[in-house]
Amino acid sequence: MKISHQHQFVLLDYKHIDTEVEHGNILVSYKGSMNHDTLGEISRAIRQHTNKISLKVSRKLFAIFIEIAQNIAYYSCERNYLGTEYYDAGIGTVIIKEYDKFYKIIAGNVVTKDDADKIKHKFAQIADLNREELRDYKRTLRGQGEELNKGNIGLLQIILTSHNPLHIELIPLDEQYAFYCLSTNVDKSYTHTDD
Amino acid sequence: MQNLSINQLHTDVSIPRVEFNAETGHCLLAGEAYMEQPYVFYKPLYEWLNTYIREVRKSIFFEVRLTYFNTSSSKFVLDILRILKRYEIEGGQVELQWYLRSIDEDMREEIEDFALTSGLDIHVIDI
Repeated sequence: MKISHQHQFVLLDYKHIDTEVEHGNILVSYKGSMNHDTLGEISRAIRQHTNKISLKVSRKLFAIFIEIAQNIAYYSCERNYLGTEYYDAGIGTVIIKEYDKFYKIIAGNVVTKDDADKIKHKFAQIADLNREELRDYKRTLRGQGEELNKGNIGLLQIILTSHNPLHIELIPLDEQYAFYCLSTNVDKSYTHTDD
Repeated sequence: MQNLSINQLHTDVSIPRVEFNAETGHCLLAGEAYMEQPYVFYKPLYEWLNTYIREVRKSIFFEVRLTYFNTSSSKFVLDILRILKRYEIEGGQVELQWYLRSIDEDMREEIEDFALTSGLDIHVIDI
């Protein structure tokens, strides 16, 4: 897919996905190809920074980051081809910000309008489920092996891991594409005494 | 039957260490699992287990020390548990121990879910 300059601007202008852009300390801010090497580098940065606070927090941030990064890598419509399949990965944005009481994880990438509709539908199915219902639904999907590669379980897992609501937004870009944003928080209330 | 060893030197942190021993039936899966192509990684594990079950037919002591797996890998881990459960139903002796850091409540839930879906008894050992 060819992304217009207008679309690239949307990717960079993360005010669309972060209304509190002026607050919080930025731990990670990345926009680009989410290949395996990039994923490894960002993972290390997350762990090095957050291990000091709490292993639980660190593991949650790492787990959520992996899900959203691999989702971008596999399904973003905007892709980099740098000559080898190894570097063929989706392009997207990941921001992790630190506040007094929590970390906020924000991710965004371009999707087709069809995928945007599917995401909306999936999200509507799970938005009001409580934890046990989410787990039950996850067991069902995983047990069936259903649509694993479509990110269904990933969304459930992000909610279960964060213990916080998931927010999604689908911003139309044109007749074919939309910008898919998701965000959630990880509380810092887990300290080393919990570890 | 050959033993199966993968990632002994831990050169790739996204791939777990695998030590499947055909003589003792001791199988170890340890580390983190969030590799790019899970099917490529797990296929030889399925093949090894199915061959062991078909040809060796001795007991299996499966030791899991996974500290993280992504949702793609979780489907493949479940498939391993299903292979073990099928062997148990067919009369094979299977024991599965899952070593768990006691702080890791998310992993504890995953293990409970695996046990429910696979029907296999999973002995959780807190470390």
